[in-house]
Amino acid sequence: MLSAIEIDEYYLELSQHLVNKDSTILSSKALGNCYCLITDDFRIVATGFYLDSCKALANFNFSTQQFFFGFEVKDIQIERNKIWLLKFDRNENSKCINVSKNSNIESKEELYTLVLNNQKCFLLDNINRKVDFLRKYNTSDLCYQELIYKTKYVEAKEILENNITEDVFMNYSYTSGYAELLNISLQESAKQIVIQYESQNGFMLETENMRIRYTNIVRKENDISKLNSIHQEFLKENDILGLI
Amino acid sequence: MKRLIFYSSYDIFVNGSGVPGGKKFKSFFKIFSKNINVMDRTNTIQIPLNYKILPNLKLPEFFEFKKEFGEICDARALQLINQAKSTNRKICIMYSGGIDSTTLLTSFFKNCTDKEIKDNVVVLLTNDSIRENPNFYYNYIIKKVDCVSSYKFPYYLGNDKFIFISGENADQLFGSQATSAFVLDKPFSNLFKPLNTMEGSILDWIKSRDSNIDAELMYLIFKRLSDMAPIKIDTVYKFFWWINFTMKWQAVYTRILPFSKNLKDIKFEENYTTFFATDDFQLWSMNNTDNFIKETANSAKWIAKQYIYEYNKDQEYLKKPKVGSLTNMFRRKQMPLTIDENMNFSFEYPNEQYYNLNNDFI
Repeated sequence: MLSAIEIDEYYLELSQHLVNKDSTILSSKALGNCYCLITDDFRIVATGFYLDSCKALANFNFSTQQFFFGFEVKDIQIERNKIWLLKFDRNENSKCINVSKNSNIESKEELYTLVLNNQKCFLLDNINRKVDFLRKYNTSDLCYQELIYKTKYVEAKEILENNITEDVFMNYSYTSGYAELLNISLQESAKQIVIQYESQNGFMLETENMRIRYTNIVRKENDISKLNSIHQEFLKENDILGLI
Repeated sequence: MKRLIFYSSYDIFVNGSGVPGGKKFKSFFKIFSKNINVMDRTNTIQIPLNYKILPNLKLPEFFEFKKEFGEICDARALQLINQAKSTNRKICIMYSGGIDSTTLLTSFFKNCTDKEIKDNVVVLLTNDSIRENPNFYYNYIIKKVDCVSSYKFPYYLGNDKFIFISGENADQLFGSQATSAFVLDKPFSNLFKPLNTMEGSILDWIKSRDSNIDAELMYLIFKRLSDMAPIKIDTVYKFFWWINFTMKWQAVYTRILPFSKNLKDIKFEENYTTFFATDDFQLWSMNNTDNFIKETANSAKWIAKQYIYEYNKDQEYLKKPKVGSLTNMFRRKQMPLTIDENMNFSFEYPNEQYYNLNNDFI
């Protein structure tokens, strides 16, 4: 069992590699809005604002993921980087969660694993936040609009593949409606819809490939000193490569 | 000795410094941009890496050249369409909606029949391209030519069924981006003042880019470059244009290559080219240095805009400002650090075999 001093000393050693340099203090209210990664014995390893960040790191050997939603968390304030100092204890008969400080960490290896996964979760949150922003920025937030785009695309593809020039029975109402509005032919309308949808899709594909690539890189990394360079590489791909 | 045709300036110099001379050479990227792999076509400046200028990108020997810009565009379109037909390939045009790619597409529309366009040309574009120039898209592109999403470009680039063409190198002909940073907080007219009266101002501007820049060294290097020019470099605008024209020419020709899925299959000038990389365009540029721009920033590439206007009569487009249009295409992709002269790419930091120890920055 590590002593409090040993925990502090080793954590200080690891802290030079932390990705989360401005670790926020999480209050009970904030914890209530988080997802978290926990060990089998209910030690909280990390918090994530995206469920995907925690799910990516969950495995049956090490930790499961669970969330605080719907539960009342008793008064606690803790730095996000050090949330692994907490354990929670849920009373089956009540909706109240007690969290308390618990420094019973067996070894440096265990502490290393906790800090590593804590930082990985933070890094994944950053990645997912960027992906989320890119997708929201490039899609519509009108109700059902994305479904409409997909329907239009399916219609348009069928029109082009079957060389349909007239929508006699209104089977392609979106595409022919679009054609009427722009005063163009059905074929032209279909072409426009296809290219616009595929352009949008191409962008989404890039965000998805990037998300999968970096999620896998982060999951597989076991050296905490490499996390910052992964983060820099991600930022480079998103920002620097666009500077020309 | 190994040589490169492309390197990632951000990874090797801005973010790293292991190459001898790299620390001082980094200044170049602080002055202009973090992401340009400069290589001097004139061999006046020795950079810290060994590089090879591709044979088709060598600086042409200067002589008096009287062809007009429009004439060169027309001839280029005809040359490319004939090349496509004779080699049984389709032309694949990377269209951003910006002035350069609109110029290139206009030249095809102007000089080829509708059937030639339909049978031999495909345009890669995105929703951003459409937004950049909606009139041109709705009135011409969608009616005349098959369109594909630009996001598929990695699969077209190097595919031998196509001649992949972009509007790159036009900026270097006209000297656009190099000057915009200089006049950010100065009168635009400063660009046209005599160079010999503005040396102090240029030096101050270089110093202002970053406190760690050896501004005197960088200025002397740029001055050496401009002094060796075969034409008169007598204004600030031409000074920056010449740096761009000589040092960034290959950078913009090659910067799209790292993203190709068929890198080894790329054959320069056979299945890949840029519209503006010909000797004729370069000679036109060197012979028309007083015609690049007028008194306002909006007049950038006015000659190209005039060419487009003569075809489509779109008055609105004449006022279009120059906007960077490639940003999204290069993001969210893995990029190798180097491509060598045998078209091998690498994600590793270059080793000593690539170092030029006789560089100007040690």
